[in-house]
Amino acid sequence: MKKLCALLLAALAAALFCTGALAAGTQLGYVTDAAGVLTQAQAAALEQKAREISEQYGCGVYIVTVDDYADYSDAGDVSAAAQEIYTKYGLGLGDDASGELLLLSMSRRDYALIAFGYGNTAFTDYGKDRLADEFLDNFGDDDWFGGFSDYLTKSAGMLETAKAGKPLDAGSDGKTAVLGAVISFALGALLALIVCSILKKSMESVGKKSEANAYLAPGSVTFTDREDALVNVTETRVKIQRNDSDSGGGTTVNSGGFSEKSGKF
Amino acid sequence: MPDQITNYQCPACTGPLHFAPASGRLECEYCGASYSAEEIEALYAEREKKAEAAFAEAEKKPADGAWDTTSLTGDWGADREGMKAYNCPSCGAQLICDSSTAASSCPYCGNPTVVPGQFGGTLRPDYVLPFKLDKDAAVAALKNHYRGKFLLPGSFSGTSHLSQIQGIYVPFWLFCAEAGADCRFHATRTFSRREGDDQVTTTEHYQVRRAGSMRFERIPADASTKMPDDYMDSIEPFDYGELKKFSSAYLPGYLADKYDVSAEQSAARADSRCENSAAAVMAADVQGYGTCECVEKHVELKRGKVEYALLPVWTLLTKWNGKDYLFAMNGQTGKMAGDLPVSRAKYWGLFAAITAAAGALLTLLGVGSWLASCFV
Repeated sequence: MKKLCALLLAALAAALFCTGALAAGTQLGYVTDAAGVLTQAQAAALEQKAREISEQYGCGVYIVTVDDYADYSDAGDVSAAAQEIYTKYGLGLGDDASGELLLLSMSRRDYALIAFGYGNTAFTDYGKDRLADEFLDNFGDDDWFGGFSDYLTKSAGMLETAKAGKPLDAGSDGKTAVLGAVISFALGALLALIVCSILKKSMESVGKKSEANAYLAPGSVTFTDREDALVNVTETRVKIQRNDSDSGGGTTVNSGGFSEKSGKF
Repeated sequence: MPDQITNYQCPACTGPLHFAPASGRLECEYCGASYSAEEIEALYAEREKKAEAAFAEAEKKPADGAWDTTSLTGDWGADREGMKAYNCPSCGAQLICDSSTAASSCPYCGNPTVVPGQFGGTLRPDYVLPFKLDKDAAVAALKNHYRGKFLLPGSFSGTSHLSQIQGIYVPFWLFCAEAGADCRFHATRTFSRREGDDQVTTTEHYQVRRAGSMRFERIPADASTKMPDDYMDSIEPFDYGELKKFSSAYLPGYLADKYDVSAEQSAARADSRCENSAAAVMAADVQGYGTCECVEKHVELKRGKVEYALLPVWTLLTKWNGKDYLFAMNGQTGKMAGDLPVSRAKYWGLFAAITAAAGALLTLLGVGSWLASCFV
């Protein structure tokens, strides 16, 4: 009975937030589909799941879709728009307004993933990269519900590990740690091979000479012609890759207290 | 076939004379007297004249009551080409040596001898570079050669036995040549700048030409098949400033070979070395480019004088685990060459130790994890 009531409430909230643009002063739910990419049932199911996760871990997990983030921010940046929405609509749980928000701007196919408060601890820069990996493939196929579901599932897993005191970070997950150790020892073996090869080479001192530099008569080298002609010029352009992954692990927090990741889907 | 051989005896006590590298003179180890090569040559030239006259006189008289040696034959057949026989003037032993051996020592009494006729006529060397370093220096250099070699089996320096050590005058052809080189290169200069989100790389391609000439003096080529060419190349260079006009007076106490590889056969090696060096000199003049690749090389050699010289080499042969290890040392400069055995246990032990230590350190520093996070 309790579960049925919760489902009805979620469906009501979904119906409220699935229509039209975000209204100023409105209290947002966990899932706000202003762009209308989800069916009502899908939105309700996601709302229900997001609420359960948020309440279980004391950290809000939000989803917002809009047609164009520029309608909600003058910052000209999807990440700044997400931060404005988070602040403007009072998102987050607890005294420190802990939470995480995934904002999709459909017309430009931009996304922003931001965290605040305890969210910065649970969702490290490395963790955000892994989280984005979970949903970007779905969004690339326009599978919105699948992408949001994966986002919530992965977020729940990351909140669980953070609760255990081991937030997902560079080197903290087993796969990365094992691969890291393998790479470390492979590099060690390469170094060992170089050192051993140098030492082995030092044991050999016999070889045929192919040049006669030692027998050049002093002062006998004369040049009769020196020509240096520019033939052609070539130019190559390479896009500079922005490395979103912070190398040292942990979370990079801006002056507003948010950590962020953004990109295209 | 036995030949009279030349050994130099002390005019004072008749003891055998040896060429001493330290003093550059022929010394008698019995009475301590020493003589210059010129003094001994003059003395022996006079003695040889007298001996020839006496021998001619003795040949005229038939021997009475002699053994019947009619069944003995002086026909060496096909062996004549490769053999040389002579009597040791000290103990009388008849010795047979390789036809290319020019100086040796008697295995019975140790008397140093120079086999006459080996350097006569067209075979006579132009120069000889006297030994400057003696046997002790060669042994010390070999020990020094072992030093600091971590991968050398521990038992090698301890249990390997120096089975043979010989000072040898090795025949060399010395080639002089002038080289004219004309080389073309493709060279590039690269500049990089940032334009917005683009990294722009501009590469300037140049066609470079260098032409010139140079002279090579006395490029050595080992003229003995007994000596491995790579060993002889490895102990170069020799300081030709100390070359002496050839005299057999420098040879007693050492082995000496005459050439058995002709100058024509050795010329290809000298040509190749000249050509490579000439091209390298042209390439070295191409400066100020990021890359430089030779696309066309034309070297013309003007072949010059070829000289024949005996150069001093110490060869040291050691035995370890049933295998021979040959080392050669420049008898003038002391430069040593010879491959050493590698201990498999030490090699793989070191490999494992470095892998473990470096792997653990990189893991602790998080380098591996950082790289892994770039791929995962």
